[in-house]
Amino acid sequence: MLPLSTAPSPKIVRASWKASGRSGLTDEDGLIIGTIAGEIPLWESEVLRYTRKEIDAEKFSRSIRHQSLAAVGESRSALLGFRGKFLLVASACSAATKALGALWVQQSKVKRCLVGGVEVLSNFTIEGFRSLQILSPKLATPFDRSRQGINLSEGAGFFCLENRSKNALAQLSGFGLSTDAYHMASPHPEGRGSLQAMEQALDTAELSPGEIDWVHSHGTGSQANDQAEGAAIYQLFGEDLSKNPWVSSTKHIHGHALGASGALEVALCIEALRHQTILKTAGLTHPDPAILVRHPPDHLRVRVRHILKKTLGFGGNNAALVISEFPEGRRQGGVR
Amino acid sequence: MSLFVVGLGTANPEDCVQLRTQPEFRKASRNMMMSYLAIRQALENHDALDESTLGLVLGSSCGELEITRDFLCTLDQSKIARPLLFQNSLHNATTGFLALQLSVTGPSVSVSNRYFTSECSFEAAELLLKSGSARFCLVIAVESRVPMLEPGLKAIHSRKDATHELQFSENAAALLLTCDSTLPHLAEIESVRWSHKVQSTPRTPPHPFHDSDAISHLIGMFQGSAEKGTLLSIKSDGTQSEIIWHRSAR
Repeated sequence: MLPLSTAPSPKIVRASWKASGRSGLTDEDGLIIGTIAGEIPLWESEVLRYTRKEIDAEKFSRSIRHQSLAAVGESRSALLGFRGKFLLVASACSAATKALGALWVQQSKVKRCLVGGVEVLSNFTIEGFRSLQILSPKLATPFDRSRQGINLSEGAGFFCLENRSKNALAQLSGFGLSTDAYHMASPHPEGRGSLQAMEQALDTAELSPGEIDWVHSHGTGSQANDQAEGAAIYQLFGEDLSKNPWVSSTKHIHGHALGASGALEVALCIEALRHQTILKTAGLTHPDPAILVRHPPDHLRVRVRHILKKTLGFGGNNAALVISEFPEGRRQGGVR
Repeated sequence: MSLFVVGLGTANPEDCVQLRTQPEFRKASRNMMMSYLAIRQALENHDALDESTLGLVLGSSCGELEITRDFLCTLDQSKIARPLLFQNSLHNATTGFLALQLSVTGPSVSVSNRYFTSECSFEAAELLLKSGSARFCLVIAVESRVPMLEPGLKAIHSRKDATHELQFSENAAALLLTCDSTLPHLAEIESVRWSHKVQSTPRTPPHPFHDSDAISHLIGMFQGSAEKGTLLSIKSDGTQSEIIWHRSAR
């Protein structure tokens, strides 16, 4: 696993490059980055200054290179001297980037793939989410009946995916991608797309629902997200909660890093496999009775073989990944 | 690569006039409307497609940048953050809108790679098709003009390449693709190659932010009389891409 950063924004880019640099990328490798806002913190104030006529086109042009969404990847490629295949995926908060990375490697498009996400807080994202009235005034409490919304955060996480590795820390054994086709900013209330993504992930991993030990949910703490996820998980695993996998969210601790959240939380899943530990949902004191999932009462030291990581994003974008321990898993391949 | 083209369509801003009066498009951006119209053309004669096995790959360099500008300027001037502008300004908003209008529940991704967005879109579509995540995949390339950027872009490129006037255009182009060679198809895309390495000096007018042109040109070639062809794109920084195709056997 590559190092992760939850450092403040000035350090994030350096941290992500430290992470990616350690992978020793060559031109035969690939780089896939997920983000929502890209390098918007580097140009949002310049747009306003130009609109107010405080700077001319010549000065404004200096910020333009940051305005293409792909700039976040270009600048990183330039820093690394990396000239291999690069792709920027804007799939909101979903973990689709990891799935595409896995496919790139599986289909031998690249030898290895460095895949991850980076998100830096900006006035744009803070005010945007405030306008949607889903920011919590206190620490987020996913799945709690008193939950009031999300906490924004920032960070970067990267993984090196290889088709065959002796030293893999975990393997990405399944994935599923789907779209809700329901609403631009809210998930389907019954979790229709989320369920579809989870079912696909289990199919590709050749696992049954009963083989999943832990569902690391997106669990943002918003009313709509937690309800939709709960509904999808309930439909997939069934009514007998005592036989279902544990379900929890960790966003009370690290907040919601938007386009980087999938990568950051996959890192947690890998650590959970290494330490054979399931994390509880911090901040959860009074579970919402309308969300019928099995909450771990505390951090649990139990046997953990397969973790289902699910994410949801704006635009009805859903992704689910199965992260399995290595080398006991069924397939060759892994995350390094 | 072997991607089979089974449908195609293009749209430009003038085509959007017909949509503006419809309630579901009242809040839509130009990118959303142009993409929708291009897709409708590409889906003609494919009414029986199962939306759960249809993938959506949208490539755009600037995405909804103009809406982002609107959001920031409205916030700056009125101190009011408008939620509609925020949700529509996210780069994958176009994809979400299209999935909603077309009831697509298969995988959808928005990709960007300044000089190679179209090429990357083909790659992403191939990944989804060959993995079985989708049986058919729509590849859409779309760019809207962002007037705010144009003086700055001209300032940049006049320094780099004074021999060419930077031209701005806006359009959307869509291809419906499959890996199933048994289906009737218009053309087969044999390979898409691209490299970040500088291989040549610029010869064509630079279109750094308007990659939808690449797929539009490809569609123009499909609609012509040639039996096979290569779309060679030389980017303004000297990098290049090559899309090789041939007509389907009749």
